[in-house]
Amino acid sequence: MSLELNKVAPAVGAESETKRSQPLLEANRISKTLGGKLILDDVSLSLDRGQRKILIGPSGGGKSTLLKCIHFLNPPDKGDVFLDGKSAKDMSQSNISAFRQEIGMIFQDFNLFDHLTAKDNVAIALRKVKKQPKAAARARAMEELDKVGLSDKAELYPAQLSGGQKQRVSIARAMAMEPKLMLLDEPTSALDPELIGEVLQVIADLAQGGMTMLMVTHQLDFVKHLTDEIIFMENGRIVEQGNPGVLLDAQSNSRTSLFCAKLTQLSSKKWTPGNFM
Amino acid sequence: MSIFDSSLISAAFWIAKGTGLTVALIVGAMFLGLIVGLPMAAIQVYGPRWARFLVMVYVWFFRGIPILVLLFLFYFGVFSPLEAWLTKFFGVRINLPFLASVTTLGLASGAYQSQIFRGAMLSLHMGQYEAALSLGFTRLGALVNIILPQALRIAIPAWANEYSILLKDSAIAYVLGTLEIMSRIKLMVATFHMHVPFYILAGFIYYFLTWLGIKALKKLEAKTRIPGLGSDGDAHFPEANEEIGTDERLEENPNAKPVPKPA
Amino acid sequence: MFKKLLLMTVLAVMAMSPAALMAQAEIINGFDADSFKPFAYMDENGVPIGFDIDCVNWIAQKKGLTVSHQPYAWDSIIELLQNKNINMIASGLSVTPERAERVAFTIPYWSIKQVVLVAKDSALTLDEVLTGGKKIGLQLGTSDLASMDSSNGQNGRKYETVGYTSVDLAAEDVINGRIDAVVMNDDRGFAILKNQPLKFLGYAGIPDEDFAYAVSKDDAELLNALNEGLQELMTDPAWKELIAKYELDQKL
Repeated sequence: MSLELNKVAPAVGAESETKRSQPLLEANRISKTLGGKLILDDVSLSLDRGQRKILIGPSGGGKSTLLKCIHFLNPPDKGDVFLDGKSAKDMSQSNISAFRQEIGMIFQDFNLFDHLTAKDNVAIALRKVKKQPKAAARARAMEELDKVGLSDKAELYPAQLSGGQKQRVSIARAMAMEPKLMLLDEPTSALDPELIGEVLQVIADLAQGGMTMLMVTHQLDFVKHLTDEIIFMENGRIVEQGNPGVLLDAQSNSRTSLFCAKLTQLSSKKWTPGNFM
Repeated sequence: MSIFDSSLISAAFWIAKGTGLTVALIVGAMFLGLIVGLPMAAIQVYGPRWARFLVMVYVWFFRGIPILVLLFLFYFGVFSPLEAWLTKFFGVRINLPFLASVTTLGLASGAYQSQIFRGAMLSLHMGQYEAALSLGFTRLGALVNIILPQALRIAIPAWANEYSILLKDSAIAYVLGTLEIMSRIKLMVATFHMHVPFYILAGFIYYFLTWLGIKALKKLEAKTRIPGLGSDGDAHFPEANEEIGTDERLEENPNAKPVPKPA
Repeated sequence: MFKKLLLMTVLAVMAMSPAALMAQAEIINGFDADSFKPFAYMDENGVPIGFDIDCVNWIAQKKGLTVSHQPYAWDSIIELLQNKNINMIASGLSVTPERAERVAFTIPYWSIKQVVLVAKDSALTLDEVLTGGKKIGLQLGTSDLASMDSSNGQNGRKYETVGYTSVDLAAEDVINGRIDAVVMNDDRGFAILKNQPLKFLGYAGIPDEDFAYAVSKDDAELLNALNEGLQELMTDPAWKELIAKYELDQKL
């Protein structure tokens, strides 16, 4: 299926000067150690409203950890995160909960709640966190499911859904909370190839709607058309960042282009015994 | 004295009436264990280091000391003075042996149940907890709304096992004179100077109680089953089914995958 | 689902509460949970009966007291009385100096001798049992066990005492040959000899025991009531009736 990427308006990018107001998201000098190893080393990035940025890099480079730190799922050891200027660092439990509500996250493993139907998966946070009444929450849930094309699957349980459907439900679930910003952690990496498309379509729709996004992915084609900026991370540090066109240009010899070239090479190569490298 | 002597029949009835107290003992202990064990399990999986340590101390204490020793410890160490104090100041007389037994059995069961629920919680993908937090649930909210409903369902089979163990452990309460089934058996044995017939009766009663409880818990498991969660999709062998001859899972849930026939 | 859990918990607590409270009887008489026939045991309907039980009931009626009889493990029954978890013990309790230090005794109402029983076909003599290093079974926590232990090794006495939770079990082990003899109260012995293939060998050579009721040391009121009641009872024809009822007049 062809993605209707060309319908997406060019992102409000770094060139635009309308940003007199502060960035929507600012991650400031984040450091994180896990299991004795320094995973993130003084990382900073920012996103303006409506911007879409991609994190790429080799595994273990700290990308997922960075997303979780930004979301304050795993608070960073050092550094701070600002959402619309509000610092998250010394927030109390209840404020952190409100902070997290404004950011949505899509996980590689979908992480749907197994004991709830698709509809209830979307509705439960509305009911228990936003304290909406049951009927209203359910109605809202159906709206979101409709947007991702799954209204007929509303009463099914996660175990009865395909991977692509699960991921779409998780997007509906995150969107129901009306977040200001979406973090996507390799949303299609756990999917069978034929299911990737339906999820990418939904993500593209989100982008068209103007959602601010920070995504970790290996889907290069997607990357190129959709983002304002590519951030290349390796060993817990941001090595390069900049315009996709520039960085991905094979001539530029950027670290990014080398990495991406490798990826393309691996996916298109014909393997024969003896030429695995 | 023939086994159908009317006084023996009366004795048998009286013993059978002790079932009420035995059931009260078990129900009380199971629930006390639940109330104590569930938070401890949550602490062990999600809690801070110092709290986890305290829980481990508790679990080691109650798992390491034989239940008989625990019974006497609580009886003389806690309940005897407590009862005297209550009578003195409030004039309330509590059933000392019963309460001491329920409490001891309950606290000990709590130690075991905490491990059951801990296993159930750990079997859940940590990601669900993360997703809940990401949506704005507090840690407690995530625990109560997302983790517990699933963990409790997963824990039902192990809980049924704990029930059958506790049922047999309850017989030990006779040393405190609780007048449950075992105490009554012993009193009648002494009155009639007959052992075997009474112990056979005891065996029957306990077997029946075990059967009843397990059946009830299996019903609960079937009723709360989530498609895909727990035993639905597992490979299992026909010989391992409790009901010989039927695959009851298929009858209850037609969508479940059929049992793979052994090759 | 949690509401169901909560409901079940509440129901469970409610179901338990009658069991948790005792009938608020004025006076609790603690008797041996392993039974001490014919002084204190239970009939087939779970009603406490026995010589001591009936006497206490008679006294209670005369004195206008409310008494309830409850079984407790024997080896801790004195502690229970000291802690005031029970008010009295009327259960074939022997008077000993050690016990007298901890509780208050009424006047003695009965006296027993300790008898030695062996298997019906045993060739042992009383002398052999008491001086020949034989195994003698007794009930744990009883004063006769204490007496046997303390007199062991004196005056040529030589035997090995073996403790059992009940005299019945000791008797069984005599029958199946694990031990050589069993020592118990004479009226107990009389009752057991009716059903079991044992025979009476003689007296165990330890001091006769007096039975009395025990109350807490600072419960003078109850002590007086019981003493008065006992004196009344012993001069009443009911006394002889009860003795006959429990065959206590038939000595070995």
